[in-house]
Amino acid sequence: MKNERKRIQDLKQLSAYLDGELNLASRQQLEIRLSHEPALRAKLENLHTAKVLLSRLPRQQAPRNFTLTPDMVPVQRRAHKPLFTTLKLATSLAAILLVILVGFEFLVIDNLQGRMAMAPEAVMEVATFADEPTPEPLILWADPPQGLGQAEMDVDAFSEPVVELEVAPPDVDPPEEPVLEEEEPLSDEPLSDEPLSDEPLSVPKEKSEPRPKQDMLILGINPDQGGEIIERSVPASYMEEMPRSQPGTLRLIQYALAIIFLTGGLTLWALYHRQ
Amino acid sequence: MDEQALIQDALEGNLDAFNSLVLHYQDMTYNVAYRIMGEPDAAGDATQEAFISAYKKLAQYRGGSFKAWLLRIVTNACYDELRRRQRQPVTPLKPELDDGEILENPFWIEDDAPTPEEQSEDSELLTAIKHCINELDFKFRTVLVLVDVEGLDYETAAEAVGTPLGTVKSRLARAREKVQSCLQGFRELLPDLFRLNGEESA
Repeated sequence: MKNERKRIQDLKQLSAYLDGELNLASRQQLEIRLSHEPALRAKLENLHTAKVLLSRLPRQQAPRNFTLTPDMVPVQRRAHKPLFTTLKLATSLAAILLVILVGFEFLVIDNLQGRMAMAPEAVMEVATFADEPTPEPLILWADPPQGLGQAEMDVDAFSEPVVELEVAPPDVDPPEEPVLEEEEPLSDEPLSDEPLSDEPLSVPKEKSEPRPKQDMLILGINPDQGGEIIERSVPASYMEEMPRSQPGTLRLIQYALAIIFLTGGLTLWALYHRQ
Repeated sequence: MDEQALIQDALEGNLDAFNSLVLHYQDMTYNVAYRIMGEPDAAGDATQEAFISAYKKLAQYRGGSFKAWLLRIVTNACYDELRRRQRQPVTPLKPELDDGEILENPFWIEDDAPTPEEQSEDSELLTAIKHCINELDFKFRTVLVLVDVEGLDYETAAEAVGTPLGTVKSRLARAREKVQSCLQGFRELLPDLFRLNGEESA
C-alpha cells in the first residue's frame, strides 16, 4: 500500500517534470534522484515516449461547418432580456422579503406569544376584560399589570401579594394624597387569615369593605364607583396597542410573497428552457 | 477576431457573431470530441450539441478563457453522448438467414472502406495509439486528450474539466502510464527511437 502510494507519487512527479510543471525545489530533488535511480529514469523515458507518440496524432479537421441556424436555437434573447431582468429582480426581492418576514414571525411574534403562554390565566383575564378597559386606579399599592400580556408583564404579580393592605372605608374623608401605611417592610411570608388590626385606622368594622382574599392583589380603588376595589387593570392604551390582526396580515403578506416567488421562479425556468 | 465583442454581440441575439466563434473553434472542438469519442459520427454529434449548448448558456459565461469554457461544454457533451450511446446501443437489426437463424453481426451493413479519418491514420502505430486512448476511462481520457493531444497547459485543462489542478496532474500521470503500458502490446510497431522499456517500467 505504501509502495503503491510512493509509486503514484513518483509517477505524478515525473509526469509534471516532463511538462515543466514542477517547482524549482521539487525539480532539483527529482533530478538528484534520477541521477541515482536507473528505474526511475527508465520510467521517465517511457512516459516521455508515450507523450511524444500522443502528440504525433494528427489533428482532425471538422468534416463540416457546425454553425447554428435560427431553427436550431430560438433567437429571442433580446426580447426576453427586460422580462428576464424584471422577473429576476421581483423574484429575488420576494424571496428576501419572505425570509425576513418568516424570520420576524418566528423571532418576534412567536417570542411574544411564548411569553403570553407562560401566564395562561393572565391571558384569559385579558381576554375577558379586553373589550372593556377598566379605569385607571386612583390609588396604587402595587404596580398594575400594564401591558398585561406584553413583554414586561410579570406573572408573579398575580400570585403573590406584595404588601399587606388596609383599605380606607368610603365614608371616611379621603386624604388629599393617598396614604400608604406600611406596618412592616416587604415580606415574602404569606398573609395570614387573621382579621386586620384596627390600630392604624379607627374605622368601624361593619362599614369597612369586605376584606380581599389573601392571594388577591389589590391594585387600587376606583374613585368613580364609590371606592370599589380594583383587582385588575387593563389600561385603555393597552387596548389600542393590542396587535389583534397582526398575525393574520403577516400571514397574508407571506402567502403573497410566496406566490410571487414561486410564479416568478417557474416563469424564469420556463423562459430559460424555452430558449 | 475580437472574441469579447463577438461574445457580447452573441449575447444580444446576434447569431452571426456566435457563428464566427463557431468557425474559429470548430476544428479544435471537433478534434477533442473525436479523440474522446473515438469515432467521427459521435464526435460530430457531440460537437454540434456542444455549440448549441454553448449558445444557450452563453449568458453564464463569466469571462476568463472562452476556449476553456467551450472545452468544458464539449467534454460534457461527449460524456452525455457516450452515456446516450451506452443506453441505446447501435446495432438493433436482427437479420435472419433463409433457415431463420438470426445473424448477430449484419456484415452487409458495415462499410469496410476506411473513413477519411481512418485514411489519415492509416499507420498501424496511430491506430494502436488510438486504441490505447479509447481503453482509458472517460475522466483519464479527457485530461490526456486535452493536455497531450490538444496541447493545453495544466491550468486551462483543469478549468476545462472543472477539477482542481492536482487532480489534473494525477489523472494525467496515470493516463500516460496506462497508455504506455497499453503500447507495450504494440512494441513491434514502435520505431526504434520510441521503443518502450517494458521490463524496467513494470
